Amino acid sequence: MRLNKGRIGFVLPAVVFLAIGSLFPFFYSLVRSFQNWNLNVPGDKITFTGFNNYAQLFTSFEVFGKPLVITIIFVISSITLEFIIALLLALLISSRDIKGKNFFRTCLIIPMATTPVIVGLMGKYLFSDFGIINHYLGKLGIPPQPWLGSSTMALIVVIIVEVWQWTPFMILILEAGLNDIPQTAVEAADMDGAKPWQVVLFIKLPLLKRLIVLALMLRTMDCIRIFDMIWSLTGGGPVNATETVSIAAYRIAFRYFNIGLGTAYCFMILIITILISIFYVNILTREEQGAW
Amino acid sequence: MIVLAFMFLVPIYGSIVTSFKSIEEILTEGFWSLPNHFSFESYVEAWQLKNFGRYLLNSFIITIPSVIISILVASLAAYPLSRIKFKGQNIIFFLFVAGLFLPPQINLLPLYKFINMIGLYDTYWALIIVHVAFGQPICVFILRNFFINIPFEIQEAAKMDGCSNFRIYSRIIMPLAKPVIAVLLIFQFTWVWNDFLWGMILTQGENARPVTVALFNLQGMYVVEWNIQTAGANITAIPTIVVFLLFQRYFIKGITLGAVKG
Repeated sequence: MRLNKGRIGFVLPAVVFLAIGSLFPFFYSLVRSFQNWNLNVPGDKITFTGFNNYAQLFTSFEVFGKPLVITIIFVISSITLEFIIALLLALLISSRDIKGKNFFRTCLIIPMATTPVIVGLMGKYLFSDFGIINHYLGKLGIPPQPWLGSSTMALIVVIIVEVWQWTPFMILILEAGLNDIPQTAVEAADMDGAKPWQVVLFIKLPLLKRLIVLALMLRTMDCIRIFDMIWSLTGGGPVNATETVSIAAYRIAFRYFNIGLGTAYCFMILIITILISIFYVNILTREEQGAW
Repeated sequence: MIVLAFMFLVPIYGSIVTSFKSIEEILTEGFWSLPNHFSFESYVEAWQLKNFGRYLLNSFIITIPSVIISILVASLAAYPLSRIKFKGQNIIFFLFVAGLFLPPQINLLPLYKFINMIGLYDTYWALIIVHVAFGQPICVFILRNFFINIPFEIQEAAKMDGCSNFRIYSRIIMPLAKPVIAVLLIFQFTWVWNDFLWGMILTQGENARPVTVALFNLQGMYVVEWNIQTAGANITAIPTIVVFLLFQRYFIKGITLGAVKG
């Protein structure tokens, strides 16, 4: 029984840190989200206001609806582009013996190893009014474009930068998966006269399904939480055009000091991330049971 | 292929050449040309005038203990959670997993208050505590899932020989877990080094401010000094890139390991 003693001692430090980092903040914020705490209204008494903050999120489209729509556009276009580009490149890399494969792989690691704040700042230099891209457009006789000044363009730039940084991640995952596919399956299909695109569509992709779902899930979660890159690239602007829910929650709580509303906002994000993970995990478990 | 590799590298190339040029040369020659005179002036200026040396040191002082402590603490917890049956085990593990889902903004205000309350605002310890705390869910999760697959016979044999729990943990389990620990090292190092939000909120001035925040603040303070900005960015980016390249072979394994969460 000596072995059972001391297990509390093992778990305790981690639980203390968990309490500091997750449990205490969770309950603290949960309580705040039902209060009317707003640092902009000095001397205002903090009282419980029920679901008032949550209701407020939906009174105006600008508060929650718009950032949510922007987040959805951002997430869907980023991960779709990342997936398509990555799939094509991964198929290319894994299908043939190309010289310099390892060098290419090493190059791919650099974008995702780069600190997101730097990626954002670099994007800002490249696309600013007097930035490199406009400089070269000018040489081609094209007038400078207000990349980060127009709402649509700015969102596109944010997506481009995100795709630049994280497509390599997808490529490496998919390539690892493609290399694990048994050669016999592909050869058998070849013998039966399957065309290369048929091999990809009917053999390789189905075998990769689990890995693809996992990769998409990881990217989706990351894109919803993304803060540093967008903050340093556009700051959420112009006029909130690139403000995802994650940026909006920060702005409301720490720029406008509306703590109650800000925390309620965070809990909406939490609910959304939980729903999305349930969705993905469902796909995964269904697949494990062979129900595809 | 070469074209595509090029596409991912163009911005990096640009930022490297730019950092070796003088501002005059950038304005006359543009960004992409190789510098006429290689000059390290931008680096010297970033290092001395903009105090990057200090901020870089700050980042290391924060990152290294954070990584070591979080993996150590998490592995201690993961051991009984996976190898010994006891009441409440599942609840504790569930709490760790739930921690994975919290959006970081939920923590901002409570932790800001907490750090101020214990008088650690603007110190290294503030950031170390916060990073260790945030590292727990993912580290405990991955380590526990790894430990649980180690055959129990090994443990039973050691028990027979009278090994204490701590000896089983330190002499048997941890050495076996080396590959997964390498993966966590990369994750945690990158995660802590790249942090920007917490560095911004928990520090002021140069006492404990990490280099990412310093770099962000560099813009706007001066008129666009591309060369110094890119020099600063390159300095900041090097450690994570080095860590990634060193541990490249563990990386893919790591992604799929991390991917099992959810």
